[in-house]
Amino acid sequence: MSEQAAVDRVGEATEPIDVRAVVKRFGALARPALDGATFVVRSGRRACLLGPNGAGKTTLIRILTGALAPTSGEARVFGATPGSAAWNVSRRRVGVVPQLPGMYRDLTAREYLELVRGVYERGDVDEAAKKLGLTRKHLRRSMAELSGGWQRRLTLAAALLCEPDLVVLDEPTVGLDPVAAREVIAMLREATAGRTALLCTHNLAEAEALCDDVVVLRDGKVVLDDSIDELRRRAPAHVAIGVREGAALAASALSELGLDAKPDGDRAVFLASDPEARLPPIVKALVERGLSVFECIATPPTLEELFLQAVQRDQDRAPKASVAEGEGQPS
Amino acid sequence: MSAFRTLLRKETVQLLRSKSALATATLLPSLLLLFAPLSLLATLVDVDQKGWVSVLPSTFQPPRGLVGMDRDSSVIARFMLASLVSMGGLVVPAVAASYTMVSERESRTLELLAALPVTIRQVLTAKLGVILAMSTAVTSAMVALDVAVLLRLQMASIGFALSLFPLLVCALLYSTASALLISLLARDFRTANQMGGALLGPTTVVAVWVLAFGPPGVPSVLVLAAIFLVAAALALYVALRVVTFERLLR
Repeated sequence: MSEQAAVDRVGEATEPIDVRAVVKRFGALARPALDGATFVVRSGRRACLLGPNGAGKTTLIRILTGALAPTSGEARVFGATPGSAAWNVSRRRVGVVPQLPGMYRDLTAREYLELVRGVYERGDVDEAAKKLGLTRKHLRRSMAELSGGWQRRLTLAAALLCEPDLVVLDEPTVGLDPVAAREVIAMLREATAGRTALLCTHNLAEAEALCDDVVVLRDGKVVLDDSIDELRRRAPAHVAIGVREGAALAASALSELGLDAKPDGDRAVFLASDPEARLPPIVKALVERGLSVFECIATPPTLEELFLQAVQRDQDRAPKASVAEGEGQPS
Repeated sequence: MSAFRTLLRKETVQLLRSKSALATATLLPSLLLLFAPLSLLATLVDVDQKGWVSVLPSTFQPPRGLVGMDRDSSVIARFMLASLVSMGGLVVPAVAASYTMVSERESRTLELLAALPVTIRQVLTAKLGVILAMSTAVTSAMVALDVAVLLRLQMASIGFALSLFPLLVCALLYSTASALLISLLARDFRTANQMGGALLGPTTVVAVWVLAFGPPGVPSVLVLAAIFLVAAALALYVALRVVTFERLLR
């Protein structure tokens, strides 16, 4: 393909992020930071990249921004790989908020935003600053003199200055107090609306508030890649049923219906998938048994629970796999 | 190209605002390339006027590059000036380059630049380019003054005087390239300083050895310039191909 054709292809209906079997090693003998990671973020979707410390999240983001090269595999951004003819065009469609960056003492906030505009070759500094609430007074100050919350707004303004099609956020609220974190999340919700976004975070509440899809990394591998709604639909909900006769009786009646119910305070609790379909006959059966049901609440699992389930499933699978690999081998 | 120009502008602004970098870029070369050579030349002129008396024993055989030093003060002038030019070229950009690169990593401001659509290579090239340009401008002006005085005193040929400029530029290139390598290898500014000292010390000894024991005059100066150039290419190769910029982002 000619260079021009490659450049022309950027903007065609290619996925904003397409990671295929990416392996990254720092040193030939080192454990891979990424070990065959594969996932796609589709246009207009907001995905969160979750994983414990050392899972490879920041390495993956650095590969996506072209700062690091994968050892093997491919990470495409709008169809282009770093170093290709189309990369410069693709990369300029991406705004990045780095994880807890340092701030220059000898550059003002305005000078930094001017630098960003110069590099992207587009954008309006005043407009971007205004959107994030940065006043002229803030812009005149040295970057390092701004408080943590304002520094984060500044990095957000820099990421959004070029009106990017894809926003990559690497732990945008880490190190902020709860009030500032809340403000930043509210700004992010507004900023990522209508855009494709990849949010790398430890904060599951933040991910839940901002994202549609979830990608869970563990030991450099993708162990879960799905939409949060779909995961919730598949995962059982927590059901709490209250009856006037007491939680013990309710739990006993539910057990007779084949449910693994336990009394918890004045309610009987159990897990049920597809609660909309399953709960009405259960409640009806309890009423038929003479119990006075006054409450039935189904709570979908939180993202934290889904995340822990995914990590647990992966942990359970790993020893089994290694046992299976060991079977049949001479001792 | 516009992105690179923007980076160059940023580095220039920051360098001009950095008091420590400016102090390094002016005080150190002033000492090595103005004060030391001009006072040496003044001393030699004074000695010549009073009559040159050799204190060396008659059996002493000077090294090849210093033959005639017992009867001609200009031999010492040329040797010392070439040595000081080498030292000035080696020391001036190394400190500033290591400082700006290592502090960028230590203060995590490199993360801000890595988030932009520029490569780490462009970021570091802009940094080193500005430091090299500023060091070259300042030191060349000083060496030009030394050369003018040397020629006025008829202590060197025009060929020798001109050969000091490629020597200076090659020393600056080697210093900048080794500073890049050190910045990639060093964990912090203190380690960078220790590594810089460990590298520049032996290099200075080699430079003086080449000037003292090499062929006298212009050839030894050009040989030394060539050694610096090869060493700069080697340091650059190791930095780019063996150590690589990825080390900064680990």
